[in-house]
Amino acid sequence: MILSKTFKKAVFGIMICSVGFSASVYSQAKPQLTDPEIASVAVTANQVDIGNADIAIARSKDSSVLQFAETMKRDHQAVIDQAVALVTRLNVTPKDNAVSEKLLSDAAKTKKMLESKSGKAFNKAYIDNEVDYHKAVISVIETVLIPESQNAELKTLLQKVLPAFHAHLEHAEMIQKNY
Amino acid sequence: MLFLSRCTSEPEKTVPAIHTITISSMQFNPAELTLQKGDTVVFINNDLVVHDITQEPDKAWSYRMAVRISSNYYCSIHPTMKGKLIVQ
Repeated sequence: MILSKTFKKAVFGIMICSVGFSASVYSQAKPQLTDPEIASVAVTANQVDIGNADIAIARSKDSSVLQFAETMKRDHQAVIDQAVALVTRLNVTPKDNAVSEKLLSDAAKTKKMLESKSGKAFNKAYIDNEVDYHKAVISVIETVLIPESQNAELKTLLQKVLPAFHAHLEHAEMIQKNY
Repeated sequence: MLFLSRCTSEPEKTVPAIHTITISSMQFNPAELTLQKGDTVVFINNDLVVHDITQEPDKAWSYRMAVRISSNYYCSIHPTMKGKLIVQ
């Protein structure tokens, strides 16, 4: 929950900063991320969830949670591999930016929170975070990364990845009902 | 003398059909398939991520197989992905 709420705030915080303090501040202007920045956000978002999955694999004994975490590791790594292959071919270097850096700083807070828990409390905290995280990332992909991407192949990759995130969210919500 | 062999009519043998189910955007397409007993189903994964096909409750299927009975199936890796084979 920490990650998803502050991640959204980071994205919309950039929106406000980018348009300045005027009447248009409260308009719905989107952040102006470049393709290298979008690539960085995309890769980082997937890396963060792999990190969360590693924690779950180390700490959980629930078979459904463990199976979910293994799927997160596998799927998000597959997305990273595709993204890296694409940016390598396009000769684009992912560029760190406020959004990707906020993802990482919030991931550190989530890590600390998860590592403070054990047993059922851990399982609940992990799955609750996965639900919130995937909702937040889906929203950013749909409203920022896809619309803002200039390169057609990058846009297509993001569009292709989106159903997987939706499936992950549904899977997490299915497990969440047990907690 | 010409001997004409008697023509016997044998029942026509139905050639099993081959059906393709593609996996894309985290869905089986078509999600529901009607086919004849003995037909073959081929699953083709067009997604970025790995999938499997599991007959409910937990019998693993191969990506190509002959179908004998109606079955519900799903991807055990992504259990919200579901499909159905209906044998007529």
